[in-house]
Amino acid sequence: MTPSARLLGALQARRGAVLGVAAALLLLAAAGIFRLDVRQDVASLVTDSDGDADRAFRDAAQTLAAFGTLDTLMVEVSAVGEPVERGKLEAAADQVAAHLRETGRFAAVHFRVAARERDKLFEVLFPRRFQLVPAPDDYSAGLRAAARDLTTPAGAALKPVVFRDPPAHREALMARLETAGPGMALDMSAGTLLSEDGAHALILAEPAARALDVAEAQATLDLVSAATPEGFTVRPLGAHVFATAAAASIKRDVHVTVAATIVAVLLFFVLVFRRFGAVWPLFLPVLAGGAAAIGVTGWIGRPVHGITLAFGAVVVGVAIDYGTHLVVHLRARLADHPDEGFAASLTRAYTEVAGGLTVAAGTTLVACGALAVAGNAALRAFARVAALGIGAAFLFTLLVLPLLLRPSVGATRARALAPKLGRGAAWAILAGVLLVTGLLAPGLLHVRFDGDPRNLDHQPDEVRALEREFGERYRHPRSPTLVVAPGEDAEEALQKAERVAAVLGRARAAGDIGAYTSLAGVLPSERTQLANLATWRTEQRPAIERAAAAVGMRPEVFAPFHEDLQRLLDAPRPVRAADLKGTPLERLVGRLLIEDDEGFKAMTVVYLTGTGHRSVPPEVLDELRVIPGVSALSAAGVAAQAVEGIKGSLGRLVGVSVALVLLLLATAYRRLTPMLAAVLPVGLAIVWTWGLMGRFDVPLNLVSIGAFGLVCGLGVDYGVFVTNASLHGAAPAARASVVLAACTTVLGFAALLLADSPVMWSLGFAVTAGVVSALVGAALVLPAVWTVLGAPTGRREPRWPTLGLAGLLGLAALVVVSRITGYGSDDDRYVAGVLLVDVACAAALVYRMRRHPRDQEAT
Amino acid sequence: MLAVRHLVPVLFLVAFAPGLAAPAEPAPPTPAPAAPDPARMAAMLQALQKPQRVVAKFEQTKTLAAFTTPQVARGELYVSKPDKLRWAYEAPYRMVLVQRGDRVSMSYPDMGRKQSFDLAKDPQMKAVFDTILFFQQADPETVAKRFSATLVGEGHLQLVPREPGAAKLLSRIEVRVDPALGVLTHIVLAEPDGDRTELRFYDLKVDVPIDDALLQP
Repeated sequence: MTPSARLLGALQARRGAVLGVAAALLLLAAAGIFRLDVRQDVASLVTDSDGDADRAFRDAAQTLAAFGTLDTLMVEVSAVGEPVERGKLEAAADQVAAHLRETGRFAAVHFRVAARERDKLFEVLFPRRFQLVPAPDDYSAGLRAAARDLTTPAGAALKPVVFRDPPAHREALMARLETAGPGMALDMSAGTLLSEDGAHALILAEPAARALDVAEAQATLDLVSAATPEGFTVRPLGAHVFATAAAASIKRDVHVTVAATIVAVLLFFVLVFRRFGAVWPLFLPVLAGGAAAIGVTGWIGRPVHGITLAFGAVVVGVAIDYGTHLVVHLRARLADHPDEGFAASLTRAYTEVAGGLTVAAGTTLVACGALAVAGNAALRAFARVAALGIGAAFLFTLLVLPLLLRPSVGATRARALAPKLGRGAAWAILAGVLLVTGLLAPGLLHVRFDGDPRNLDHQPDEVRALEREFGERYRHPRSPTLVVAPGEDAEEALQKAERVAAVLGRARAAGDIGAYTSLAGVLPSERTQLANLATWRTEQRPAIERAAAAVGMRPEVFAPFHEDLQRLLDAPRPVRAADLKGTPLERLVGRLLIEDDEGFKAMTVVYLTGTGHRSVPPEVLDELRVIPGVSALSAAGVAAQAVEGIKGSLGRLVGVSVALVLLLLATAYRRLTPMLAAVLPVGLAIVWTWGLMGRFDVPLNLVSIGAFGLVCGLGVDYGVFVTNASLHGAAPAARASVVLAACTTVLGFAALLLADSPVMWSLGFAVTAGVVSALVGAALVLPAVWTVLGAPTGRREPRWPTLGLAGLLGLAALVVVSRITGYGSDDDRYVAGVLLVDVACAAALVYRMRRHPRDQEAT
Repeated sequence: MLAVRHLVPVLFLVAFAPGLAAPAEPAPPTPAPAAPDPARMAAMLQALQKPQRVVAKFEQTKTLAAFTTPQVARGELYVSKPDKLRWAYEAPYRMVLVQRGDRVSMSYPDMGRKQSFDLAKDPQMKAVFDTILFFQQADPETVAKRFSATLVGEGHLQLVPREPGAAKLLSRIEVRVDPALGVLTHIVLAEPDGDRTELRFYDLKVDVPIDDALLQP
């Protein structure tokens, strides 16, 4: 009797106890679902991380969030129908703004600037203007402006200003203040924010909730909608709108495709098996795996992002193949040996599939094991969910499902789905595959990776239309980048901010950036202010006299100017942040000059509006980074950094996973031919699918890369099922089960090709193309190869349960080692740990087999 | 803070102009002095109310103590009653002032700069522009309320501001009217410090079509 048969016999002898324990464990695990802490905030993808890269990412995300660059919400108030007079519009906007403030869920709500605040600003800045602006070399321009202003209709009123201001500081200061604003097209003359045509009021709100926390963002938008006054419309636009719209779009896609998939898969199984008794067992391993994965994640107590959970659950979907594999083999056995009896057929089918299931699950678990020690928290959580689910589904299929199967499962000859290939057909298949490979393989040279997460964003047409409308009306800044200049004190930070502004000024002149908001103009460092003032110590009268004469003015009228200057020269009074309290600049200074535990940070916000760039050009960033400690952050940059981190981890860990999978297969088969046969489907899937993508310029992205993890898992499973079954002379049943399993997967994922969301489409395309390719490899190419070259034999097959047990013990040891040594603080260290543990397990296994050659012959 | 961008020139204009410290609240009504010939003055003001639209060229001569010589500027004026005005300087510099009700814009095409403001929110600026608007509306009651008016000759009116705020800016206004066309032909603005602005209107056209785009602030 084989070890597998002995295991099944032991299980059947203790059927009640096994089912009871399994049910109890599953219920206990599933209860953890109620403790699940699912996050929708993207920061939760990294917040439990200790790795350097993730810490930098987290700091960047937190700095951006604290600054509010990500989350400012534009709220437009408009009259329904014809525009109303300005007063009514402003009253409605005031009402909305007041309502938003009352909710307490907004850090700030801007609509109106009080006249007293404006007056105070000039009371502060104008008398100290000589510290803000250096002395001019030439007063000609200032005197021309003076002459012009005096001859306007308002000239009589302007005389006192002009006589105090021959250098035209009023214009220089205005230019400085312009650089402090984002340059939106707004009419702010009346102290309120209105569109230039006066038909719309604009409220700038800073919600406390982060936009990427979709549930909170939606609650924030609901508050805005609830503030709509009668006769008016209130339309918000900003990161909260984009995030919730994208999430809603994906949710709609998911609902439609999941419903379509469930119906299609059920119909497919019912059509193929023609009886319910054969269909329900297929789903039990998936349900058990899902309950265990999600429930245990809940019991672990760590927050998990919804995306991570979803992707992990998708991988658990692989487990539908396990039940399919067992049921198809059983039905084939029952059909081929009708007189054998159900129990004997079950034992035989179990023996045929146990080894394949163990290797298939083992390869998936090993791959997940490698990811489980990744430096990136999202990858670790994904691997944890997937490994838990796959492990539970595997154990359920191996230990519980056989006890639930009944004769009602029915019987079908495997040859019905997997007819025997003749040599002619085999050669034709191989020729066709070579031809297709030859056509697609050159595409591999053109595969490119699109790491920009913005390209995965899908916004409904109405949101795009609103964005265009707002863009045309307000020319609001987009794609902000935050340049952070740190300093031990405010003075040092401001000095660096001035250097940043100098770089950005040149970049703007060159058209590399659109605009920037900086404190350099309105709150220079004290060093700069005193330096500016020093330039005025030179006697100014001769220069003013010359310029005045040129425009026909009498220089003596500028006596008030000389008095102002002398007053400041006698007692310098540098403008400080505290001086701007109670002025319209207070909020700006509060946001651009931040004090924290490490000192001060002076922020400069860079906008790319009108440049056509999606990020600040690298040469500008290089120039900024020359300034000590200065860094540039943007939402897109942070996301790209996260993608790069995940991509880098994937690159290394996928390599390790592949090596481990090959090691496992080598240990299992101990011969090159079946080992290569097992990986042939996945190789074909990668060559064909990536070749197709390269040929038709469909870039790889984070989603499709993740999806290829699933494809690789499935592809290896298909190869293992077919190869292993051939060792038992049960290849037709294995091919039939692979065809069924692949068809269900394709039915599920092909529906995603109809989705609007690029995320869903990428997932659907990668999995559909990959699984179809792997199916061709497993169900056609492998049998064709064996028909031509001869099938492998099973003389040296190991004891599968021992192998599975060794793999699981290895994984357990890996987790223990990771925990003891700090869990993910250094990617490479843990990758090395993974390798060592697995190599040790494999070596122990091989050593044991050599010592007990009888085990090999037991089959 | 955002509001500052467009408000700076206006703030400079008003915050440091004590002469423009017009009261936010209307001054208490004072009895209008008896005009020497109320009938003739009423007839002259009535004539000013006749045309609905006026287009004219103007020459402005400012004689200011700050300048060694009189400053001459030229431009075009468009008036569309009741409350639209375009005052465009063309030489020696370009500056365009457009008023439409309470909305006013001032633009400097050579500098690529434009600023706009709302007179309803700014009583001090409103005082300046009311003075300009006054000549468009020529409402006898407003004239009597704000000025002490004297008819000094045929079609020649002298106005002295009653309100202290306005009196700090202007000591006297003299206007000459073409009764036949119902338009102003000549204005003199005398300031308390002796500065003086003289405006002469020519190429006058009344009730001709005016492109509304020219009257958009």
